[in-house]
Amino acid sequence: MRRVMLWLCAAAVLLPVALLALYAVCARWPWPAPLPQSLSLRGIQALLNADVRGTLLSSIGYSLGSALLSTLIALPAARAISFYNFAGKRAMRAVLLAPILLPSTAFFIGLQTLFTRLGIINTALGVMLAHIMVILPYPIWTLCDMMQSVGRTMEEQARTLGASPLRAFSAVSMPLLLPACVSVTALGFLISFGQYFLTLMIGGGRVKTFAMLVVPYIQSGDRMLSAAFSFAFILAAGTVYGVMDAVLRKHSGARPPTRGSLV
Amino acid sequence: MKRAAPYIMLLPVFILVCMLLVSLADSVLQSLGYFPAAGLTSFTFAYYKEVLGSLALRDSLLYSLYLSLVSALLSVALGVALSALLHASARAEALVYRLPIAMPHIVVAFLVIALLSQTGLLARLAYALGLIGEPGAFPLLTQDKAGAGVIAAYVFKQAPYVMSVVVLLMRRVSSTCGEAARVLGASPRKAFFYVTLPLCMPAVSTAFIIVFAYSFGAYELPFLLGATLPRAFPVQAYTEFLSPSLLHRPYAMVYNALMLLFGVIFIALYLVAFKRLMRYNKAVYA
Repeated sequence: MRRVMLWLCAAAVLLPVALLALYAVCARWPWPAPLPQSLSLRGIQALLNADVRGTLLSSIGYSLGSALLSTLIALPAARAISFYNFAGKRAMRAVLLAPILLPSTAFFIGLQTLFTRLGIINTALGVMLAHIMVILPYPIWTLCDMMQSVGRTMEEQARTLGASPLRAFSAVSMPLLLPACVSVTALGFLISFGQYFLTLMIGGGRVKTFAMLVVPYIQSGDRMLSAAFSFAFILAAGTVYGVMDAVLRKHSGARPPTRGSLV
Repeated sequence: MKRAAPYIMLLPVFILVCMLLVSLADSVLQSLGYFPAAGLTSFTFAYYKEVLGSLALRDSLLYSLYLSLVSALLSVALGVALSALLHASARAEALVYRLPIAMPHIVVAFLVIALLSQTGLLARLAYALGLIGEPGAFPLLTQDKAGAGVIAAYVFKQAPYVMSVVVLLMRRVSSTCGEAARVLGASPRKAFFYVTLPLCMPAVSTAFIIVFAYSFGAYELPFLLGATLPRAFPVQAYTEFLSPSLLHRPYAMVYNALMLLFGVIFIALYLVAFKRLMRYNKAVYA
């Protein structure tokens, strides 16, 4: 039963990717042929176009930047939430749920009007800021969990032995938190890289990301190009994620448990 | 200085939270008719009255509630079933949920079209088996009123997510309480349905709320895969927002404010569910 289930799951996950690959290289696939009638590299060639490559690279740049900044913002925030008492801590928890539980369309329309007023609409800055707002709850939650399980006792020992607060943190706690930092950055990258509607609204079509190249093909029904771009999309996301994962595994044996994300 | 420390550490988060709150307040003000940019400065419930009485609102709201309810129920059922069958092996679970979580919604939308549309792979399979003779004979599963395509896409994305939330707790519960039930003579089925699953319910309910809230508010999938009419609530809201006349903006913001109201309800429900989860977690750890 378990084996059958596993095979079914593997098929449900891997078959779609195989289908993408097949569609990406088909030239003619008329109804009702179960397999493509002839193959072509036109889809792959479209991907190698200089504009497309440029968009892919800048898109990876925006997403990595947003993810890194989110982790950097989340690190002190998670520490404050884990180890300090302050007024408004409970309200903070509720507000941090907002980007996940507020209907995203309402959230994005609100941001669009605000960013228009702030003059950062249609700019890369605005897009990255919006992406950070969507990503942020994930690193904060994960790092809170992690900090609570690492605790502060070892850091306090370093302090009694004469280390400055900053040194105690960077030499004792930080190495223990680093794997979690890398894995939430990877997750943040995936979240940002997959955004379409948010980037369209805040970037106004002026800030191009890879997701925005894919959707017009899907809408116009060009399956070969949709598939080629979708495949490249997964490949790019997987490569960046895989590199981070490999770094993580090289430097620490175990992978920290992270929650998945929906977006 | 000591008392200021947490506030300094949270400063960037505070700034972002303020931006969020200001933008939400702005939506609500505009829905009440306060929109100086269009020369509207008096507060009124007129827009609410008009939108709340409209068929477009009723239809889109019901359609969206239907889509999110069905996809959330199916995702949770499948996610729990997958955790139940696979929680024993960490490798197996990683295989199942890594890839779908890495796949963006727009790619999933394309996959659904390629598989389920009337010229998609399933239709071709049906033709090869002699079940249908032409594409039109295959049931309409994308851009259909029943939203089969949207639901399929959400389940593909969300079931693995539900699994990722539930599986950690389930592994702990079944190796402790579930195991105890087995030792005391319960059949595997009884141990699961009477002990393990009930103890995992808090995690299941938080996952349900998150999944439901997501599909209720997201634009991409109903936009790419949903029916033209009725429109899903987010699609309807954005269509109103795109109206070129600024005087129309308050109507769009009524939609937005209603979505926010739902969001507040989701957050309240989540906090209640999460509190229970924490209590259970402590009990299971102890």
